[in-house]
Amino acid sequence: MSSPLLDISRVALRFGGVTAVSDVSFSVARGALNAIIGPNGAGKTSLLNCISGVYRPQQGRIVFDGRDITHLGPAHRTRLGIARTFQNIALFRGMTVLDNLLIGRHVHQKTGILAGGVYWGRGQKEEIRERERVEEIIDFLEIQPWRKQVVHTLAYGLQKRVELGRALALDPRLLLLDEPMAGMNAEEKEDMARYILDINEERGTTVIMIEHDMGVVMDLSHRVVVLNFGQKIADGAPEEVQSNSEVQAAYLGGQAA
Amino acid sequence: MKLISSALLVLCLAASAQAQQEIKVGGIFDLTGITSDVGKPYAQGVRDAVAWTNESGGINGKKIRLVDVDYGYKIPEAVAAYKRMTGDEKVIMINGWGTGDTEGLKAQVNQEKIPYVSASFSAHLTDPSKTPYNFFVGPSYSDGLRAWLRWVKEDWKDKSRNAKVAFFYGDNAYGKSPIEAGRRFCKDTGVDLVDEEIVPGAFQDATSQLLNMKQKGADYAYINVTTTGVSTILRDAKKLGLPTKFGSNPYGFGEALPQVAKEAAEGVTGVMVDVPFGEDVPGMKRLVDFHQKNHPSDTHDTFYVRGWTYVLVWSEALKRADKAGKLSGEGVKTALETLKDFDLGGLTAPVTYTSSDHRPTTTVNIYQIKNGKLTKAKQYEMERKPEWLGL
Amino acid sequence: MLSGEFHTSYAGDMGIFETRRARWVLAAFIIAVFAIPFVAGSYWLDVANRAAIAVIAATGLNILTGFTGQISLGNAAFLAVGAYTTAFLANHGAPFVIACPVAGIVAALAGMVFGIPSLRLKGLYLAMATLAAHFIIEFTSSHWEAVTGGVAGTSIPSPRILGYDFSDDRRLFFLIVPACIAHLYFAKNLFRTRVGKAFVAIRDQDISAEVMGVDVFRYKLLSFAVSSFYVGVAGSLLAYQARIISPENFPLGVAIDHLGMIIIGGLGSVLGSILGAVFLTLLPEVLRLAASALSGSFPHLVQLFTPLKVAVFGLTIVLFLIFEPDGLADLWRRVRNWFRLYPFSY
Repeated sequence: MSSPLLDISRVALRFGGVTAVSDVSFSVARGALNAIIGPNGAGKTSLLNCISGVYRPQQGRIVFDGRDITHLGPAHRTRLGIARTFQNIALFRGMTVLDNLLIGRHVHQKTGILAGGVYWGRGQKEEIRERERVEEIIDFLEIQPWRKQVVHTLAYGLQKRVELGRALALDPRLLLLDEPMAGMNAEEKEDMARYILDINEERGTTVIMIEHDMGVVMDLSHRVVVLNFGQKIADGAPEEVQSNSEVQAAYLGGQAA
Repeated sequence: MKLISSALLVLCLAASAQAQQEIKVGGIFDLTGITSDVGKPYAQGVRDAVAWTNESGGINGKKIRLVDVDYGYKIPEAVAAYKRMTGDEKVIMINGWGTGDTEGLKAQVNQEKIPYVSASFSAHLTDPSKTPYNFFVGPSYSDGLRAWLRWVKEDWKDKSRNAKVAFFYGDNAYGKSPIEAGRRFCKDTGVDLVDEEIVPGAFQDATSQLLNMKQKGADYAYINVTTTGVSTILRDAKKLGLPTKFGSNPYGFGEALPQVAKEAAEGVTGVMVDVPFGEDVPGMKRLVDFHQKNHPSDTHDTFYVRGWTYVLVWSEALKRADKAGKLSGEGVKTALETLKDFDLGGLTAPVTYTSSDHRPTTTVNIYQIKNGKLTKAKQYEMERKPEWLGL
Repeated sequence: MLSGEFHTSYAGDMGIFETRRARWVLAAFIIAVFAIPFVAGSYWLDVANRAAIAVIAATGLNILTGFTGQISLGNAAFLAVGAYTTAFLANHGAPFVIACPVAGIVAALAGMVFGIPSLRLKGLYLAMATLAAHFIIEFTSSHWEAVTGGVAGTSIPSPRILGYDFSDDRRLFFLIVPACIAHLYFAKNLFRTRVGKAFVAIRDQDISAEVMGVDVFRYKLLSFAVSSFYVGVAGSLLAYQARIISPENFPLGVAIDHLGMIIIGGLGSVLGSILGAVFLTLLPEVLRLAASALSGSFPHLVQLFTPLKVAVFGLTIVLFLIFEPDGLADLWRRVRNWFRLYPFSY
């Protein structure tokens, strides 16, 4: 397929006088595993928020699978197949692992309030079917022992994994990961990297991730977009970006010439 | 819950075994609510009169047991108390208090045949075709207001125009009870009703209502709240220097008023149903004796006397019902309806109930505060008009 | 001694009860509840009926506040809407089977209207907005005399089903308690299915819920609707049970009581709503018993009863917030878990 899954053109986002993202354009091919990098405060998360719909950019267009989604709300975008995780874990703290994942199935379910409350017939069948679907993800992420634990009691690394599972439960076509490995030790990072690769390769899900660990970024991603002060300063294959002098300057903290 | 209820059941069974010679009467009082200023002395009067009755031979030898409760002038509390009294305590009748709760319960007391002798003088309770089980002891609020309006008519000397009158009343069933009757009577007597001011249940300030009234130019104002509220209005009126002559309903007028409102109460008139405590009437002796014997240091007032008159009336009915061998709700109601000019020794006007008219009396005394004392000013015999029954 | 139990199917694992034993315990409990009318006097039946009604109302509030995280002080108002709707319908000849559900629906609509501010407001600010709902409805109920009877209130005929007259508390018990059980069953199911989980998601992380495809505003309104439906039905039953309702039945204190019930029972727990509602309904009765038992030696205690009741209520809530913030339901869970695997609890 030739048309990109996601096409961002000239997106700008301002908070009052502060420009978080300015005039950024790039596109993501179907089946790609791309990364967005940049120093702290470069606007990476803001850009991700624009894609998932948490923020509405003041300027520019975001096209997902040939459809202009710039003005759609986050819930609507989710229904179209965009899922995400958050930089600071945003799980439903009071719910069990299982319930967090089941929320991921929300958009794929039909049970209304009456069918749910009566729990009889179709509503019951649907809940059991979705439970099976979620159990597959639990198996995939190897979190079986913690299924019925309330998430805020889990270790940090596990919570990150549950959050990934919750996004996967949506059956997304585009998965946005905001620093999936932040705060993890080497072993956990390795596991996470393997899950991301599997998601991309086996499930064919297109992935955009923000990550600080350059080793991970260079190993995993197909393409890398580099942001600095809200502007795109590079976009290309990992090796190209690595050798870009502007990128090097940005990471060393100097001013881009 | 089950445990508690079964424990209670055992208690009830044990209690009922020794209660054969007792007649249970419910008492629903306001000791803590917005009418507790007059509710407390009234309740004290009822309790003392029950004790006195039991000491003086009871109901043909049977003792009265008063099962009483403080309902805080809350209708739902009264409903719950009523259920408890009729359900588990199996009281034969109830001595009630407020207008709202009494009128609220009227359908139930009728259905369950529980005579409900209430401190509310609401005229809505006087028509036996609608409220056969409701009774009270004294002229109705409506007759009280009519009599006061008649006094206004006589007091008004300027023949060039009618006297202008305002009504102050609380936003509750008691406050509103005589208002419709008053409106109509104003038209009939030739008094101009120029203003109605509604005051909240409990209030500390009536300035804004009084300024409204001042604008309407009322010469007289009738206050239909309890004594605390009446004295608030009187003091605020004094502060504003209003020339209006105030009058009060039977629950806003008593010994406490000149004490609390001081000189602001001077000249104020009021409907008195019962004589002040200690008044020189034949019926007062037993009250004073009981007072000397049991709590000589307490002070009492007309509301305490009112509590006594209630017990004297319904205990007489209990005696008659017992003699007739009909000690039941229905029997007590029938016995009450045999009372004819039942003399209370001057504590209040003689009482008569018939099966077609529960207006106990239509005699209304208007008192006036002179030099800080309650002084009888006028007595009116209001007509027993059939169209006023229930109004 | 009990062993752990293993489920062999997802359907089994998703049941309401974790163990077969729990099912038996519940069955035994329900039988015990239905024994109440055969042993209790009419006063305790009145208390039992009021407790069951409070359970429905507290469950309703818990759906909104405990499960969806939307604080509401409007519960007394929605109770009033249900009660007055019932009074109006019943006095115009509508039978119980119509008046009661319609009362729930009217209350649900009122709940949705007053839930609209939740689009923008959270926490304390939403609480203030629902407080406005309370005062608007309180004003309406004391001044719209044609429907509500004004401050004097209005009376309601006893409910009838197929000619059977539920005229006293003993009979009403068999109407109120099954209604209560049905509502509890519905709530319990609600939170193991999609809609209920969306409610909890909104409570825990509303932005995240939105990103997961939950239409947050729609579900907030839905939560207001379901919650007020429960409260409206409770109001309807209250009207039928009290037989007389006036604005005094629905002061702000009732809304506070209901909040107290779910705090003491446990926020976000159906069991908590039951325990909290029963606890707070029984508390004044127990105090009353104690007061009257002591009235022989302390005759002024009767006068102290009303202020005492309020003070004990406040103290209880403070103690729970400090020592048992998860409420009676969590206390019960810990006790149960300790006994379940006794003596090998550790």
